[in-house]
Amino acid sequence: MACDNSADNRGIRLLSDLNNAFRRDNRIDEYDFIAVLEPKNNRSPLVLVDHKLGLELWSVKILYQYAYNVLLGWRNREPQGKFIEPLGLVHLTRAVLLINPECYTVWNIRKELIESGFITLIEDLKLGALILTKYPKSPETFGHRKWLLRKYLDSYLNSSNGSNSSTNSVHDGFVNVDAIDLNVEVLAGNQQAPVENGYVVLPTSSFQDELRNEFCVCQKAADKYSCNYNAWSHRTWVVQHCYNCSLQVCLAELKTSEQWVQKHISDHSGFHYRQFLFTCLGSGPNREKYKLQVKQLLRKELHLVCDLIANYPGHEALWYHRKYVFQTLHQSCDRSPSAKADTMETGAEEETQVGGHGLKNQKKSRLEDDQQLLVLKELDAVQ
Amino acid sequence: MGTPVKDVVISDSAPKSLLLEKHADYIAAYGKKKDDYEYCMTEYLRLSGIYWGLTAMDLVKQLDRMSKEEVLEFVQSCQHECGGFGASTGHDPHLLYTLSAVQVLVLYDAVDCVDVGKVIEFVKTLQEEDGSFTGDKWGEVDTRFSFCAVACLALLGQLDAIDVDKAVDFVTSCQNFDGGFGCRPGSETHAGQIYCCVGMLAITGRLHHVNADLLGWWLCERQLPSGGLNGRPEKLPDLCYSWWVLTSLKIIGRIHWIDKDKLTRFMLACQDEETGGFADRPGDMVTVPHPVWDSGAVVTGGGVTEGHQSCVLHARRDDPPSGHPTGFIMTGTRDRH
Repeated sequence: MACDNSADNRGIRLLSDLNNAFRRDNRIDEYDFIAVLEPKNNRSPLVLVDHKLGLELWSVKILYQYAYNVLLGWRNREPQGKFIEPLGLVHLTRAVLLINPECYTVWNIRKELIESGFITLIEDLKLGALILTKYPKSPETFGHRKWLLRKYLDSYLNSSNGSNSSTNSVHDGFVNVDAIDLNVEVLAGNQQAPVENGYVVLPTSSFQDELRNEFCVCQKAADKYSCNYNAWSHRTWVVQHCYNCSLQVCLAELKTSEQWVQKHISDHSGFHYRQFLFTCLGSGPNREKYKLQVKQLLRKELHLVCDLIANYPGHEALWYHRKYVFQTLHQSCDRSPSAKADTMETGAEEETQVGGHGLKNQKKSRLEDDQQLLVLKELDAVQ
Repeated sequence: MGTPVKDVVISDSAPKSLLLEKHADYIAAYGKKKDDYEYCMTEYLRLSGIYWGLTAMDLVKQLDRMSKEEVLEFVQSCQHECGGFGASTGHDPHLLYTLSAVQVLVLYDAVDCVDVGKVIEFVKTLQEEDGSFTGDKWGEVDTRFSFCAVACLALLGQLDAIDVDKAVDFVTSCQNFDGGFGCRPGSETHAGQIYCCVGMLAITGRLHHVNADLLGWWLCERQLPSGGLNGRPEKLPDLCYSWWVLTSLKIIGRIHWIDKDKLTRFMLACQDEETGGFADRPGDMVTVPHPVWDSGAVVTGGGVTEGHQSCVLHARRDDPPSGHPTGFIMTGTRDRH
């Protein structure tokens, strides 16, 4: 596969330079290609300053082709493909993914390396975060992260399950954030890190921090690339699968993203994320309990989006969001318990309705008024 | 108002006619140099690239310029023990490339040259309890994979192999208030995902789950003053959405909501007069695999040559897969988010 020996030798050298850079600094937090098209002197084309790694552009192709061909040759069991030590695979896969993170097969090789204990989950979360600084919308990188997080949650819950019988949140793969909090304390008292399949499941960083960090990773990716579908969609997934759409997390996220959308008024993805959060708050077990509060939040949101439209006219994203908020508010008038009291009479409701049907009808018509008022106000506003 | 719309300006010197021969030449030369850096960079989607290229060549009636034997041999080399296909030799099996493989095989009427039973088994094992599909054994869920699964099985006449009701339930659970669909429940509406979901519902005969007026409205709002289509609000127009948006509109019977003449002008302006192939928008560089893909989209989707009706769920025109009224080409495969 490889073109010629000199390119191969340069590839070997570049790969070892790259490995050295990561050995010298295990906190590299950003990288990019430097627009140097030809080698200028005998110095290495890798620059490492302040945890930032730069690769001169001319070297990227050589490094990539070398690492890719060796790796795929090995994967493909080509006759000239040699046996490669696991550590060699770790290095080759890293080199390829830093340059082309859409190579899904190479991510899969890393998954296998994780399963056999040669890479930790945390290490790979870190590598993914680094790659997202250069390729903020890389779908395969986000896909791999979901796998890592699923594994992380599973191993965490499995390992804490034995020590804490109150953890019943493992079922259905859902996680109760309160249970996690509790377990973190248990774990803190228990110095022994659980070991599974020969590797330490929870090395240095704490479980909660790692999950919280996921929101930061998404936010950074969203900052780097507007309307970042994969970043926001991943964030949605984290809320659903790592936090089971918990009320606290949804509210916290609503708060964080409010500032963000105000600074990114044409980012449809950011607004959609808020729509997702409202939908979470308005459904599930919280629905009846927090109905009024959610309605309040929606009213606030309508003000927010109207203000933004007034200040920044002509943005489609804002109008779509307004449509959502208006429609959801309108429906929430519709869904109130007394509006459908005919079908859902509970004991408590009956008590409030001792006045008989008169009161019920009164309530009902007031709600219809609410709805009508909302429509009239909206019509008035858009005219 | 005063906020400029994010769009492009088409210059007067942009191409105004379809340069079919140039595109055919471009595609015929695609991926010849195996040691090429570009080749290595795009090998992870090679089988799909081949499918797009072959489809385009078939549409311009020049399929015979491609080596059928070479292609089939390559497709065979991509099949794994589990039945699924990887993007290229040595790449892992995935539903995306399994569909591309099946499409190529159907195109050449050569389904029998691979183990079809295993392909069906592969697709079947990827269905989850909630009806969704994962792309491979590592478990990522996406409505694109739901499309790939049913498209694959329908082409092989084996739709019964999976739980269609549950598959449909999952796809409809990804519907948003705007009538569109996202990649998972709660995810943002996206034109590419809409194509996959609407296509999936069309194949399974469940289009009644779609609110055609609501969705059609969202889709036709994707057209910008330049005539080009974007994939989401406030994004730049991109030629590939001529495929995703138009096909979706066609399926739900709302294609006349788009200004055809303006779109045609935009699409023609995306051509590269020198090299052949297409850029994502007028004035941009032609990139691999965009041209291969988009020429397929233009030729198939644009109505450039034959008007609207040629637009969609286009199959092997003369012999649709057995037992199914429509075949399908382009797929919601690689991401354009």
